[in-house]
Amino acid sequence: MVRKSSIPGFLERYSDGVDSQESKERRGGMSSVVGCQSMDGTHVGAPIAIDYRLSTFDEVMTTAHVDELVSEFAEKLLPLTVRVERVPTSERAAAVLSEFSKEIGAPGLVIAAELTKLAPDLMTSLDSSGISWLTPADVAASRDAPLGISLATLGVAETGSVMMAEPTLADRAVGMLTKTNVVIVRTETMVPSLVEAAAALKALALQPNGGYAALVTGPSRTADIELSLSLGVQGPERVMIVVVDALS
Amino acid sequence: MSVATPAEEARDVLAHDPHGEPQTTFSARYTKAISNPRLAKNITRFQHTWRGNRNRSMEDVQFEELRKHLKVAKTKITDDLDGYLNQFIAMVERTGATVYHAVDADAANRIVREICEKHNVNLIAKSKSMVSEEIDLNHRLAEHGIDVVETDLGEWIVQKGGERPSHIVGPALHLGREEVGALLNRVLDRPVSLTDIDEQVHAIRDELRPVFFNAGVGMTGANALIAESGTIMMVTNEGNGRLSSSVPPVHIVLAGIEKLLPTWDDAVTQMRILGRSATGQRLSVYTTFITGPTPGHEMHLILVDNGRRKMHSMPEFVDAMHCIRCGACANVCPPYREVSGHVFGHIYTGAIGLVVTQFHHGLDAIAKPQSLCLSCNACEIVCPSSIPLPRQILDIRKMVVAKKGLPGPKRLGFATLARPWAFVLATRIGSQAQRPLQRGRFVRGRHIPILKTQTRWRSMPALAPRPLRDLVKRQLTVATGAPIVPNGAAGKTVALFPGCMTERLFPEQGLAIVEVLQALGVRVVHPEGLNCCGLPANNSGDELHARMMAQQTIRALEKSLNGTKIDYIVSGSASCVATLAQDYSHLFRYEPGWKQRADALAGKVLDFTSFLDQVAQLPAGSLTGGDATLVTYHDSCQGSNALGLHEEPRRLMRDVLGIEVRELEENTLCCGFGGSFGFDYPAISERLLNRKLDNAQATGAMTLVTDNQGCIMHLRGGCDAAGRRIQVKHIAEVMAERIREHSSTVAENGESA
Repeated sequence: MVRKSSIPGFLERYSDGVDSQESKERRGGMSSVVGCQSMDGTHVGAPIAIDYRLSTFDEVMTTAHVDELVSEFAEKLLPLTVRVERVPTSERAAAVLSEFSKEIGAPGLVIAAELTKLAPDLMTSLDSSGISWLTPADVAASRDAPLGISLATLGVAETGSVMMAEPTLADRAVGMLTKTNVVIVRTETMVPSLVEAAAALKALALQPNGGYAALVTGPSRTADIELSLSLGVQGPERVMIVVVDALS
Repeated sequence: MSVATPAEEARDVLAHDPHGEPQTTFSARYTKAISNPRLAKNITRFQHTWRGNRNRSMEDVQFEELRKHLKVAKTKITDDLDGYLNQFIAMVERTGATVYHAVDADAANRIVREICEKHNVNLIAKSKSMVSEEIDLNHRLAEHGIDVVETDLGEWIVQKGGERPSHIVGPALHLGREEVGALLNRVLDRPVSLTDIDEQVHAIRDELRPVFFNAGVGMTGANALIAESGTIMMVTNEGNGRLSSSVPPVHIVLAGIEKLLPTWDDAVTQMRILGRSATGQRLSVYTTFITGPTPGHEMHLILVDNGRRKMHSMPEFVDAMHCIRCGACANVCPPYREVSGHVFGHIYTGAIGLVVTQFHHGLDAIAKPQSLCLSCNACEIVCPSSIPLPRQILDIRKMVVAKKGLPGPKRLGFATLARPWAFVLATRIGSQAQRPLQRGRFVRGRHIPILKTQTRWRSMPALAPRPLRDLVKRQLTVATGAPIVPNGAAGKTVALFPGCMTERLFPEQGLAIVEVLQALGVRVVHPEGLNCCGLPANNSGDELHARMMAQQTIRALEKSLNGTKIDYIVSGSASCVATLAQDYSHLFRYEPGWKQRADALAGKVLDFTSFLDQVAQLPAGSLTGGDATLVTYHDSCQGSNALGLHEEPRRLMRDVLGIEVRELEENTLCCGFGGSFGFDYPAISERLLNRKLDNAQATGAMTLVTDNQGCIMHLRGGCDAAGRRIQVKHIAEVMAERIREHSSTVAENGESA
């Protein structure tokens, strides 16, 4: 169905494969800042129409450029009140985070431990911007914290979902219990459809002890009373996605 | 409705009331619901919004393709239930989670209790699970001092209000903000707004927050069990499912065995169709996949049978195992809109509730609610698992009738209808007896006490002075001439199946069909010995008389096919066509001989509209007339939902006749006729009728066209009773008028030339 090498970001963590040069080449070059509400206001690329019923990863990737995947991803999240920003580097990502935390008045950040390990440059940049942050030691650390930063395994253009598969419960809680959740998605992990996401989810599930994962699509919501939409009923009230081209 | 004996009423009581609400009978619940105007308002708003959201969300997928795939996947499960179950269990157990089998509700409750007792837990944070409602978990555990707190917002509201969920997906959608606000002010220690929904939601959020941290056990349901990896797929929008399955140290999953899916491919299909069907979302906010326990935590998985294996063993009902609990069947159901799931269903509500309840809670629990289905088939159209819900509900109805019998008047009615001599006699007597109350084509009785409830809001049709079979004789002897316009039906021979209503109430519609067909160069025969097709008996659960009438019909049609070469059997009644072409095959499923005969006939049966569209294929503009006419069209349930007609009648009127068709709102919604439904539930029938007529009038058209005699009778009766000026016509009558106009123009032109 899906070639293993199709999902590089995922494979680094759960599988023995490595990203092939071929699939990197197919993705082509990336423009610097693209998204539905990018920092400098650019909006690049119309969403492409993908026939999800027929799509396999290989088939789609030959025609769909990764920029278009990011655009489509952002397009799907637009009606769900999710802000999507695409940045080229960890430095720019840190700038977005620090600006956003000032905007919402968050005194400090709770950052998934996995992200701090994987992106030391991001941490250095955050430190130099004077933002205080901590990694959660347990679930309670995230309870009603104003701003939490998580790392997605991959992003799904078809639905605007992010796959969350945090290695620890404490990291998982960042996306469940904070008031505002910023999710970092690496550009190279953007996949066209749920089919590729399912391949990654399945590989995780087939680990000897299984695993816990979720596809998260927008902020927590309910419409239980008169179908009137309320956000943040149990999970985060606000979700922002930062797509980073070269996370380091 | 028949008057229930006290013993019957006692059995009818909602035995599984989870919240200790005073137990009520069906009749009491029905009366309460129908006299609460706010209830229908709340559900109507919900159904409207859902329909719009659902249709919009389906725009970027192929619904039919998706549901075909889901059907294949679910059929694999029901074809090899134990094989997939074993695969799933082995994959779960390898992760260190514990798997339990619960044969019934008691067993499931006991397992949960024992896990709680082992861990000394007296507080459970639970996310939404219909299985927990099915087994009455909250109530049963409360008896042992274990407090189960519902953490889904809607579910929490109904729990606090001492109610049960009225809908599979939206437990509290029968309530408005004022009602929720009043409840919150009663149960919380702080004042909460009666109008600000956001404030209400956040008050409940604050209430629930500590529960996740204080609970020793978190419980969830499952939306799918993926066999190939032992994964539980769970869908929520609020995020309470993730919290319930993550924060407390022990996680218990309750799942019905029918939730199995073979592979992740199938899970993708379910994801794509579930959110869209349930809430009109491309994907619900949190789709969680749990394979084994979180490190350091425990996970227990309880697989619940509780009647499912019996469902699985019955060929009539095995498809109900394919349900993914999206609630769509309730969201399109016309009677549901008026009474809510507290009346339309038992614990499981909506059409699927009418089907599965007997397996979980016994036939008595659904004996009364099942009578609320008016067989409009709207549910089957939107069901993502293509469950033949309307047919299954009729099979449940037949079981109820077999057990409890039919009410006297119905029994007598069908016994008469099934015997041609008795039917003729009854119509003779009827045509005399109706005279004192007859006003033109109607019988009015709104001033007579015993008839008042039935005729105040719709006049009954008067029996025609002479039946169609007498009137049509002369017309049939006329030799068929050249067609007035070239068409594909010219030269064909058609046997007319008028249906009993056309025969006795509206013979002019039968004549119109003959007139149209003859004008198109079709030879028409009117088979001898036709009576009723059996639909009224079949829809009332009277299998005995349904079979009798079906056999008579098959014999009569076969006889006429024997002598002459008949190309098609055509009827102006979409309902009769659905019965002949679809229902007979199921009715005779255990009698191969009759089934074969029914299937052979079914291939020749066509409704009038399809015949003109598919066979005659009249060229566009070939029968346009002088005056611009404006009509509106009511899609009859059988025409649109059973036969799949939608564009066909419009093509005919718009393209061929050049008539402007202005669409009425909710054009495929039932008019409220439903055979004897109007007699059983006049209050609901009246509301549906008036909604339909209001919508028709709002178009500004003075003519309402449709393709089914039942609807016509109902709609005309409603117009007469309310003094509405709108005219209701069969599409054949519209065609016949145009053909007459066309012929006289041709004749005049011919003379002048």
